[in-house]
Amino acid sequence: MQTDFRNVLKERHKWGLQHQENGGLVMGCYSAMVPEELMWSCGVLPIQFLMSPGTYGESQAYLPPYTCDCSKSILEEYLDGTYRYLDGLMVSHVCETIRGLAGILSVRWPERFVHVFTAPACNDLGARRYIRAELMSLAEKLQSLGAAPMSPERLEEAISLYNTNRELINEIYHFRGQNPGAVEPEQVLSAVMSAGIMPRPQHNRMLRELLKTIHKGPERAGTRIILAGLLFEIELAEGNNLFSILRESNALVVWDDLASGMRYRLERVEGSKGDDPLDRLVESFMGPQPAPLRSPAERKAGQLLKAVREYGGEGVIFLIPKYCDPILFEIPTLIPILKENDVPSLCLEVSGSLSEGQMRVRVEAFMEMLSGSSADSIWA
Amino acid sequence: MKDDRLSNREIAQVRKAYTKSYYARIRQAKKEGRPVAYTTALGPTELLYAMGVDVCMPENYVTICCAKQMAKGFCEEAESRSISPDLCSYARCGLGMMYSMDGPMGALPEPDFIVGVVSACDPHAKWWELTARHYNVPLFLIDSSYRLRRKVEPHHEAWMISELKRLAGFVEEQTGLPFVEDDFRECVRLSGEAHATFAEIQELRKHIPAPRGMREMVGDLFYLITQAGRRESVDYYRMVLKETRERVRRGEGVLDEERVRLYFHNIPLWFNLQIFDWLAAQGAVVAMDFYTNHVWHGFFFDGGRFDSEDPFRDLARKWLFFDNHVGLPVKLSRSLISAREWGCQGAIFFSNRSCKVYSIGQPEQMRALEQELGIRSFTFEAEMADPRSFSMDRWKEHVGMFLDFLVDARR
Repeated sequence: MQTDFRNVLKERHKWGLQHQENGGLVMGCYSAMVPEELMWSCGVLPIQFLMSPGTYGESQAYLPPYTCDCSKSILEEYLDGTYRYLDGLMVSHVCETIRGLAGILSVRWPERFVHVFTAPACNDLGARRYIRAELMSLAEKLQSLGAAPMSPERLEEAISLYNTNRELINEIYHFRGQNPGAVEPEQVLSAVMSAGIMPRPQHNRMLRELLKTIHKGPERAGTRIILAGLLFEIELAEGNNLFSILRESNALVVWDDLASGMRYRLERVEGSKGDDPLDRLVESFMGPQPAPLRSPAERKAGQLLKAVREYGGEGVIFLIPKYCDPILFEIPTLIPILKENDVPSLCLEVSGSLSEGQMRVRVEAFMEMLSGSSADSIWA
Repeated sequence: MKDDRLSNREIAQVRKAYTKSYYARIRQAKKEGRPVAYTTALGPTELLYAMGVDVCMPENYVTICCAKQMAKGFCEEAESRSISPDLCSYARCGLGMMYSMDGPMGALPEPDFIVGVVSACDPHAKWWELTARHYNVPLFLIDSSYRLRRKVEPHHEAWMISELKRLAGFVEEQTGLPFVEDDFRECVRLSGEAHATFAEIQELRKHIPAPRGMREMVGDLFYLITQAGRRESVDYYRMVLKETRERVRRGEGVLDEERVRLYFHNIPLWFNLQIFDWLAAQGAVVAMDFYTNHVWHGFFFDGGRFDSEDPFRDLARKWLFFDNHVGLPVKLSRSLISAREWGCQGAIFFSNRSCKVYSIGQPEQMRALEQELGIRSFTFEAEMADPRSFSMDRWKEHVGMFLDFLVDARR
């Protein structure tokens, strides 16, 4: 039986609470562009915020209506006490909304640790020195919260552990790209999202189990598509529509460029044992970053085209959360570049106003267009 | 003896004439082959002017576009080219002007390179990418740390200095003109003097009646944003300071009798600055505002001055204290200071769909004003550069009731 990471997502607080019971600290994080390896090496479990389904109540009194559901969901669960157990919050500067949210939380709970981590957009000596000093300062702050002091040995181990995790996830992606249909896209994305909420040793074990159970089967017929943008885990839950509509439309997801997928800092922390692990970690944070705000859209276009070539992608579907400015700003650059390269695309607004029926009509129309293979784009 | 005093209206005429000459100068620079750079309203003009670059700010041009009631068409032009209507209206209007090759004084000259600010807000990074791609010119993005609280750690400042030096290297590459430290030092000195003089003018707004309101000050801001580092900015603020002191001495205000003093939070509605005239007609003056005091001027508002003897360090400090680079605890404390020290009795918070940086966290500020100072707030939603977002009649109706409430509460 295949390991189902969706079950992990159903119990998303379990791992953090267990870690705390064992004497560790738990840090709520937004975006993978935070130093997870450093935190883990100091005995802190970083857990990524997931989005809760449902309506938002009290959070609407603090956040304006033109902010994304994701920020509302995080704030809602802070307000209702769901995240009471967290020892702190660390977000990366990936958009202005998340920085603003960190500000609200720091005012409402001044006794709690709240930090905005900036992974540089550039790559030069000044940025390198900044990140080194920032990581050291951060380690001291974590220590003042009760975490273990930073040690080169533990950091080395953490980097190795996280690198193994990245290799295993990349293996699943590569296998799926070569054998679309062998593993469902919800499984792949759940696997990546689970990495953000559970300790990596256990996660690595589960990934290995999953890899053992997925096999190359008879080739599934369908249209090969690539997903890009941002997708929240509620879209993966049973009863949600996106993936069933894709399946019914004969779409085979071969790759993704989602924040909760391939953009989850899945590149190895380079260097070898014996190098200063802090230097290695610093190097991994040099720009440009995977997040759209901190990377040129043309670079993103290049990555999408590379995936199209490698995995035979026939079209790209952009999943765009309502009010996600960094992604919205990329679209006017990405669509023409894809079009110039004969790659059709579809823009779908998710977790907002699009109903099942509207989504189905657009996806089906896009799939029909792909079967006619004209390079065009549809904005939905 | 001839009275050579200038009224607020005459000061505005001086500024308008200079604004025209500024845009003419940029066009002339382009014609003569001098380097022209686009930058954002938070761009480091001191460094660019020091290096012989003519600075062009499309954002400022958008505000003129709004005042001339041309923004709607440009926003629609951008929206017809896959720019989402949910995105910043500065960006939509600016991109619309670029695509249409038009503007309030004609199309802006094409840039030779662009300097954006990734740390300021989402549009300050991504809008310029689209512009650079359109003109096929190099784009430089300045980055910076973000601090929730006021404390600056040494590595924050060191990185900001490093980013400014990296920019100097980039400008040298683009223009072939060398960076000359003495020129930069002089530009930073002039910028520091302009800010210090601007701070004195802001101080005078504490007088009752207030000699200058928000309508006048948002106009004054033109020099702090586009001309920081130039002699003209110092000359202008000295003139305004002199005239404002004189007004205070004579007891002249925006209003002869102030019924209510207000604090205004967020960018003004550039297409409808008449809201301030309407407020004045109701006896209400915006005695202090967030926009002119906390954004570019935050470092000086907090008491800082350019006194480190190192122009890079001085400029880095100014940058680290932009409102865009600090968190809600700092924003909130600045709002409290402004409302209290300028004697405001009510506050208007403009929830700006086009600016999440300034709008997120407003409810916390409103709560703090009420709890700590007993100041009640009114809030409304619109966009600073898209007139489709605002209904003046409805606004007047609601604000009118709010002003009545404030007056009744004081009785």
